[in-house]
Amino acid sequence: MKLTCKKEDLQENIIKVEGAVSVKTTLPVLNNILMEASGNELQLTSTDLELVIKCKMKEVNISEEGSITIPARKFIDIVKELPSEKDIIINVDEKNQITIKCNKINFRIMGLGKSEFPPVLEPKKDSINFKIKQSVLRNMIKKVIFSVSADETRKILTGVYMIIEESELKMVATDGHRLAFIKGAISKVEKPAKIIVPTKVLNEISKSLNDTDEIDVSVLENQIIFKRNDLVVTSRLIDGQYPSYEQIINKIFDKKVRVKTEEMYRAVKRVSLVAIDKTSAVKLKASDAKLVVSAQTVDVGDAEEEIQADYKGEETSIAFNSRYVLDVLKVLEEEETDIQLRDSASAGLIKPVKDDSYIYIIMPVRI
Amino acid sequence: MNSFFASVEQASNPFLKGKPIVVAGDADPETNYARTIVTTASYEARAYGVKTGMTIPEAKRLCPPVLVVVADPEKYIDVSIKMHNILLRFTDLVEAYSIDECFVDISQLNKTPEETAMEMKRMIREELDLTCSVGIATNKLVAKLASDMKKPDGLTVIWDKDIPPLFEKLEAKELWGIGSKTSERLAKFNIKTAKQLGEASEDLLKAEFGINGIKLKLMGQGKYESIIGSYYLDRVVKSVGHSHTLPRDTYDLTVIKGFLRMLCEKTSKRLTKYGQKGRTVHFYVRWEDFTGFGKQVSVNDPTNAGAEIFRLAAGIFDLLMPLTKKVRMVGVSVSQLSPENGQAFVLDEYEKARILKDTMFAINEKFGDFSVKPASVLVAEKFGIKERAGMIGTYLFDNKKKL
Repeated sequence: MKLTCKKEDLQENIIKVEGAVSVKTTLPVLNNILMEASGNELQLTSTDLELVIKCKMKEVNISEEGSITIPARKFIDIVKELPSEKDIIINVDEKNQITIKCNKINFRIMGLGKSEFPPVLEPKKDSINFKIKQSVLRNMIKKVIFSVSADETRKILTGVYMIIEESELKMVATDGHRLAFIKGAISKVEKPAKIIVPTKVLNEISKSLNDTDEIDVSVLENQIIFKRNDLVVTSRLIDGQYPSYEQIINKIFDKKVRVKTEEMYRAVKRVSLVAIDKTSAVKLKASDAKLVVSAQTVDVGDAEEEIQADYKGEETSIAFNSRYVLDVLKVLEEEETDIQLRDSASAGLIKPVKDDSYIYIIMPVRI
Repeated sequence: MNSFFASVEQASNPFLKGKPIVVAGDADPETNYARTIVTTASYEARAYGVKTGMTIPEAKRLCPPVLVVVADPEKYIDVSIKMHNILLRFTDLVEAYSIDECFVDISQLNKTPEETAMEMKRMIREELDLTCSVGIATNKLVAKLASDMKKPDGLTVIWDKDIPPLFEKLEAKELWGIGSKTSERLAKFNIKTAKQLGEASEDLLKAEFGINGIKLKLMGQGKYESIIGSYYLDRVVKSVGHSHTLPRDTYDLTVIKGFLRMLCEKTSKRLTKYGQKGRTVHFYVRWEDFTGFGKQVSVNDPTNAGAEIFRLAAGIFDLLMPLTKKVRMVGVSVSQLSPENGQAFVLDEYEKARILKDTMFAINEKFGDFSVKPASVLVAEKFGIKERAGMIGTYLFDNKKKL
């Protein structure tokens, strides 16, 4: 195999597949990126057996077709350090020795043959397919993914629940204490599907999404595939029954507090400086036209900040884990945010004022 | 204190005085005490060769007139606290090490150490009708060693100058803190006596024992820096757990899991009492051949619910399936504690479990432990529970907190 390409092009593409390279594995070849050169295309593939990322580099000057797997970490580090705007020549001999040349720089590293690389299974044909705008998908992922659980002993909650129905995609994520829900438009599907998608694939696909056009999504029995002309990302799904969420997002809240998103974010962030450990909370107290954010920790101190709020009604207080509040305020883009409450022992709802497609529910801590 | 439980029983019942008695944890006359273990033997019984850990039939064979007394933990706790109060007349630097052992820092007192010790012994004898063995030294390690040297009613002083000749012959495993596992590892390097340990190369000990290697070397030299804090300072709870030896070794998973569930409920109760939750659950099992296995799992969301602790502990236990040996003992503990803040759950099934747990706790606080319990605990109870002895330390601590 022999080819020439620009450093920037190569770097951009190996970073796309970096995410699926195994970190801890008993199979050394999974630490490698598979490179396959044919015609004028170089295809890069990486996998940790759960997730597969394939990307294609077009218009590569290939003087000899072939394939090799190359240690990913070393390869990425080397390419990053090579001078900008220069041509890189990669040459692989029959002993799987890879030479990387750039100007007067010469690297030689050992690769492993393609035959060592696990074959990537071709998906079964019976699938559900839809198209979604890349910007919509990226936005949806961003707004729910922080709510998933990191508890590996409850696998189901570590994934994002996707409900695909008619022309709509819904995503739900929860760690048991807070829940994020969002819906977005897709091309019409013939039959509905409900799946649990690992966060890793969503994080990886998010990195590569752009604002231009749509991406194809296919759902198979136990796989999800995101496909663009230059990129294919395949992942296994998480097996199991996701807990029912409908009644959680359809509760009635009788108190509405409207605040400026940015102001609220800054207030919670500041006040929570005295709420030292992970479990400590910020207290919100709404009364006529104002919201008081406060926190206190025994042996540390307390803090309080008053912000302007659009609220009329009886005084009401509630306490939330400050991280749960900050997480959502960070991703809200609208200028104003609604906080809906019932009482200090019931869930609170946070949503953008003008947009009903995104809902975030938090359970309180004891005041 | 000398043969503490037995002496307390003899002090509180004149009929037992001067007679060979044994205190037994789980006395079950129905099975003729077949698996009942001697917790403590009085000195009269010891004269016949009766020892802690024997079964009652064994003890009776050695000493036919022996009397079996059922353990009464509350009584021992009460006497223990009275003993603490005597020591506290001298200084507040009293560390309760176990139910019948205390370390006291007497370095700041005006009297000589021997005078102080004699006075303590006199008060304990006069007020509680009990004898004890006292060890005096410049640190806890050597003092503990000294206290074990003469029983009953001993008083042994080991000054620093006495250490080298003593340690020359002393086996390393006699030192407090060096168990059979450690001494086996030391034996690999031909370290058998305390002196050899003290003279061993620091690099070698570090390579074998890590950071503890340095501590071991100091121990071998009879040096051990550890202060005795005030009795009144709250002990910081770092982990909460329980273990239980089954009445007989078994393969029966329903029984084992029933016991495990019971231990998880006890752990949950104490965590709730302390207002704590924990992120790490440690499970351990001891097999019939006394080998064991332990492993821990950590989660993001701290818990103090019995069902959740059980889910995580049983998850570890399930790794050991299928069982190849009978189970002798199971244990569970929860660590990485943080304060309970009443964080509610958004998912119905979790929130229900939380409410159920809180309700069970409230009922059991009012009507007594295990008034309501998971049905699986019934299986353990039917199998038989050797309940009380293992709980003494806990009761002592909980009671002290209340005082």
